[in-house]
Amino acid sequence: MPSLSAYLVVSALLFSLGAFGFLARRNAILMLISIELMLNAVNLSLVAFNAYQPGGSLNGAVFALMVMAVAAAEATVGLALVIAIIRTRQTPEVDEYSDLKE
Amino acid sequence: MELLIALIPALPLAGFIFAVLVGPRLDHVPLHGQHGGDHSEPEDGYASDGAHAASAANHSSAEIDDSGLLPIPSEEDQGHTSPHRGHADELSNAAGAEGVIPVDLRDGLGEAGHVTPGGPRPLYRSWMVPTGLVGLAWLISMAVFVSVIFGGQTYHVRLYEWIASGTFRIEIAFFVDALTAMLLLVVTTVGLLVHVYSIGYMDGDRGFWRFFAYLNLFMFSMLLLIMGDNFLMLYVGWEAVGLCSYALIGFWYKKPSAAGAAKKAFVLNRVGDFGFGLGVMMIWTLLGTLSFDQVFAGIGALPGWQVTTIALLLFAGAVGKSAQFPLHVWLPDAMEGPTPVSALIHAATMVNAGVYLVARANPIFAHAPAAMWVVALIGTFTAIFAAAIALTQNDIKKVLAYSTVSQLAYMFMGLGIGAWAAAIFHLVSHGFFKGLLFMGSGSVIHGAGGEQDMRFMGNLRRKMPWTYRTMLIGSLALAGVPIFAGFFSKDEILGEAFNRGYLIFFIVGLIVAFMTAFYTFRMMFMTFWGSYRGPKPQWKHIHESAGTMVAPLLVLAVPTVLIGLLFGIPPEGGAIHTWLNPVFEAAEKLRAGILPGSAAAQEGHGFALFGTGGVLLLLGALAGVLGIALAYRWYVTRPLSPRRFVERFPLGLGPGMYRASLNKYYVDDIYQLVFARGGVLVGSALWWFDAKVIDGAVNGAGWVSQRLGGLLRRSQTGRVENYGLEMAAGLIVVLIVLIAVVR
Amino acid sequence: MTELRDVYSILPELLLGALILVVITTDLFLPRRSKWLLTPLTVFGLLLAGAACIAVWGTNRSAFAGFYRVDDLSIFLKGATMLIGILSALFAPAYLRQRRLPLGEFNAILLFSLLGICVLASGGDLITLFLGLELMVMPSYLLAGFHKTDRYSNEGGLKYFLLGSFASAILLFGISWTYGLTGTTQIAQIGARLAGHGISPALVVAIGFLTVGATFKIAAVPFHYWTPDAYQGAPTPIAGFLSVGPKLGAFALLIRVFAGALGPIHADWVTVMVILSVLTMVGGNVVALTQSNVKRMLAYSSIAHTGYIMAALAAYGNAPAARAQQQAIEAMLFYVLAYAMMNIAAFAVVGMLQREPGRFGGLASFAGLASRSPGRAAAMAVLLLSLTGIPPTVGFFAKWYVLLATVDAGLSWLAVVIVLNAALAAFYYLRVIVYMYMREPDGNPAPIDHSLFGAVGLGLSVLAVVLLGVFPGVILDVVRISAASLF
Repeated sequence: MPSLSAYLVVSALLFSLGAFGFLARRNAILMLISIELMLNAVNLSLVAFNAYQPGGSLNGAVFALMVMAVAAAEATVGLALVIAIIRTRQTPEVDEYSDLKE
Repeated sequence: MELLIALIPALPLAGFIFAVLVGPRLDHVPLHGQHGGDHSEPEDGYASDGAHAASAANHSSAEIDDSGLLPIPSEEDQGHTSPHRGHADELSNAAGAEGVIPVDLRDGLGEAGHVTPGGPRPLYRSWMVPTGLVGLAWLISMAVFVSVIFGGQTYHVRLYEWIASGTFRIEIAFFVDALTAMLLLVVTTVGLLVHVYSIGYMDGDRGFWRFFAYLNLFMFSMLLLIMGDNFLMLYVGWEAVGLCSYALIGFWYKKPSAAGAAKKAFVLNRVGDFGFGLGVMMIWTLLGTLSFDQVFAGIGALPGWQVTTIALLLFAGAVGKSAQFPLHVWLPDAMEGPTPVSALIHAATMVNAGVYLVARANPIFAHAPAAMWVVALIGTFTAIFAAAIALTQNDIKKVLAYSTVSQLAYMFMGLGIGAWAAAIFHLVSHGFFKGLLFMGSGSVIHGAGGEQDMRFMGNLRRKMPWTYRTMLIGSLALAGVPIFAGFFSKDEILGEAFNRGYLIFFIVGLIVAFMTAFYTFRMMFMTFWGSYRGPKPQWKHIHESAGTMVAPLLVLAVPTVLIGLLFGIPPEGGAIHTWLNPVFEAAEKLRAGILPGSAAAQEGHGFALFGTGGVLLLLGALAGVLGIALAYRWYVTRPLSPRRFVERFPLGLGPGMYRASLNKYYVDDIYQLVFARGGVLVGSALWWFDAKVIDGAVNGAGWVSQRLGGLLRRSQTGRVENYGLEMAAGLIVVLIVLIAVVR
Repeated sequence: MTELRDVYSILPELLLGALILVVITTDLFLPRRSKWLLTPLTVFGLLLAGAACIAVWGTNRSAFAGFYRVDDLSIFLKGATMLIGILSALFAPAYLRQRRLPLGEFNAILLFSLLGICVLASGGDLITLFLGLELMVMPSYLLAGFHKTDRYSNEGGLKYFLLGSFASAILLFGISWTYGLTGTTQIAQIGARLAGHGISPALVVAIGFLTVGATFKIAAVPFHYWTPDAYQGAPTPIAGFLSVGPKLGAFALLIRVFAGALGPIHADWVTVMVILSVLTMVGGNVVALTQSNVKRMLAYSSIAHTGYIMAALAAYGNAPAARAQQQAIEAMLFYVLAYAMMNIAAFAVVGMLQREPGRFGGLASFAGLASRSPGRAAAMAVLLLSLTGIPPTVGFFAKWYVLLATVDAGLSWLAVVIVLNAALAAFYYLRVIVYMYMREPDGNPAPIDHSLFGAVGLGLSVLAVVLLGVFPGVILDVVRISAASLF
């Protein structure tokens, strides 16, 4: 079994990757996917922390399950909003959405 | 009685709520455009505003080129003075009815609400309830006044606990002692009269109900200010009167100058209020209480520098509200508001709040001799400074405004040297006679078709005898002529300055008294005497104001004559001292040990008409009379032929004066050279200081925040990707700060 | 029996959940003409839930194995939530009907969000807090984009969603590391474990992520960028809800996480909180100063108000004694409640003047309101004065208590900054009053919404703003007991 640090490094990398994707992408759906990536990175760290925790409580694992459920809900809400805006603007590119500013 | 006292502020509040909610439905003002007519286009209001502004600009430039002391305008000036000429006919049509606001003074809407000949009269009913309620409040406060002053009682009405958090408690409680009773007398009397006066003055204005709503809100706030029993209520009232003042100065908001003046007043008051707020905060942090009793009981235990800081911070608030140097500039500009407002707020009540604050906090100031010096110095300087400006003003209301600044400064001088009762005496008498003068000037402006420049007036006493007579009484009081109110109160301050050994303050005070008399009568002579210098067609339209406007003048003339006699005899030991003694006793005792000269004051209290006191009295009267005489010489004598001058001069001294006046051109030239040129130069330098330096600082602060706002605003690009990056950057900064802090 | 007591102590949430089901079901069967009945139904249900809050007042216990904390603090916040819900339900219908937006869905989504706030308020565990937070914000995203066919609403909703989810991920990352480093997700135990040990570099990073994630939800500068866009895009009464409801919840989160879990190491996070607080006040105010659109101005000013509340949290962090800490929490609670009442109603008035979909609540729509509708103008004036902090309105006391808290915590300079900011804020708030009372209406003003529900809601909030200003003692005791339950 690899050490906790290894899991955490992978998790941090995943999180950074997701954050980079969120910041670099312009397509609303790809941004949404990047956020999912970040959430999964957190899930990985939660489960890893739980596994290496003494005492056998399952809080971390349960938390990860909850996060998955939340992520699913988030995707639903997000897609609904993206579809609505694509209907009025005919594009998923977020840099086209800047009517509201200043 | 307790319940009645609580009713005093509650009644105007009820009036305010009524006026706001029901008022708009009570007035019926036909829209201007519906009646047609040659003045009906909405643009007309603007155009005449513009013309007026242009002519005003012209006037002010003339003021600097030409000697401000010269009453006769040039021909070009006369050509420019015609904004009202075009409205002459309309004025004549309306003049039969109750007063009608000249077209460019009307509600800032410009186009609205004035009476078109033949059209239906507008209907105004919204004044009834507010005025009635203020009248009721006046009745109650008179009863309270009598009971407090003559019954020797003080009232402490605790309504309920407003704030209770931990050890910190604030009650809603009213405290009425002799000091508050004095202010009640002025505030409610002048307040009621201004309400009555406004019925006539604001007639024809579409903002009629709004005006009465503001007035009532102001009355409520002012009563809260003077009746609260703790610094928080005082502060609340303080802010609220500032707000009302803002709303009322900017009442004719379509005049850009009015809007600007309102903003200026607001900003400068906030500067002072900020200091005041800090002072209150400091009192609370150091003493843990804000109620007057407890603060005054505990203040002695604090170290001296803390008391001095508190006193100075409080005084900063007073400087702002009472328009003392260097925050005085808002008051003259505030004259852009309707004249009843100038009479009520900017002469008789709100501007006195600063004096009240210092007088109320006398135990604090008594513990802070350095702060007392600051008060006295600022007061003395402002007194002479403002009087010097008043000498050269040509706008009738500006003269009175600078005079108000100067007279308030007189009160501060009195407070600063520990002449508490004398200062309050002057506050009361000044409240009455300055209110009278302002309302009189409003009547003049109203009757003369909106003209405010005295160089285009003259001989108005023929047309408006009652305004003239009452204003004459007010002017005599302001000039300090014996038996009138101002004489006694001014003399008390001067006398105390002398008795306590502040000789320099005494001399400056005397000079100011002379200047005051001069500019007051310069105003009177330019307005009511001589020959009419305005546009000729205008002359026949000048008329005496309506009864609702003249009646308050007559009523106010009574206390202007009597108050001095009632309160101030014998001089420097009159009834007012007995009444106010309980309020200032402790401070007076304390100061005896601190400041030199106080002991002398106690000895000198036995006034003798033929001793030092008598000489001082005579000197005061002399300064006033000399000022009037000089004004008479310059503004009445010169334009008239010597023969008529001799005939008119009273007491048969004519022949002697006649010989002296043979040299008048010669003397005038010297005066012109020495005083007028010099005076104008100083005046314009001060004007420049006002306009550039102080305004600049105020505008600068606004500019900086606007710029900063603009900058931040541009960072809101509307693009999600930028927002995300900015968030990420924020995250990194937060991490850096955390790591730096934790290490 | 313990379980039964647990169930009883979440009575308000249960009623709220039942109400959601009732509303959704009723909406299915009501004919179009009678949809308005949903509003009284919702209000009634929320009143019931509010009554349930009173019933469980004083419970002060942990339920469901410590996952749920039913103390007076949470009940106070739940009561405030019900109030916000009632006001939102009253203000929205006229605006929605005008634009043919479905009332039933609005009510259901609103109630879901309220339920989220309640869960958040009672969170005794990081898991509960996270779930409550998501339950609160996800309906909020939908509400922001509620006007489906309006490009602005879409844009605001999407921006809110994308940035909000990003912030949630950041917050979650911080939570997971806090869990990993302390070995527990229970708030109380985290506090206990942190008190014993020092602070490690990894924990600093975790706190940083927590701070950013949580302060995003309250719209602190520089994480505020979504706020003006989302509020301006959202239907106006909904913007009112968004500016107070989720903010209330987010402050509950801040209290639970920073005052609860991270309380023992408050010296470490207080600096960041002070800096963010000052940035937020100044940033919100100076930008609000440049706005000519009242709706957007209110959005920026709500950021400034966040700054004042954060100052109270900073005061908690800096407080030398437990008494001062408690006072800071009291100030937060009082401010949040006061702010909720005045801000939601102020947005509602903007909405009432905004009858055509195109109108954006510019200053011009307020011109001459005093003569067009004296009652509404007077109400708006009271609300704006309260937002400015002018006595004797509740807004004054809210600021006053924050000032007291900061001074007592030894942050006098922060109090000065607050006072200066309040002075600055006066300019843009009073400008609206000037427009209402000192301008003529423009040529063709939009008709004013005179719906009964709106008027009732407005009357209620103005009454509360004035009454709580004149008699703040009524609510102060409640606030004091609530704050005490945290210690």
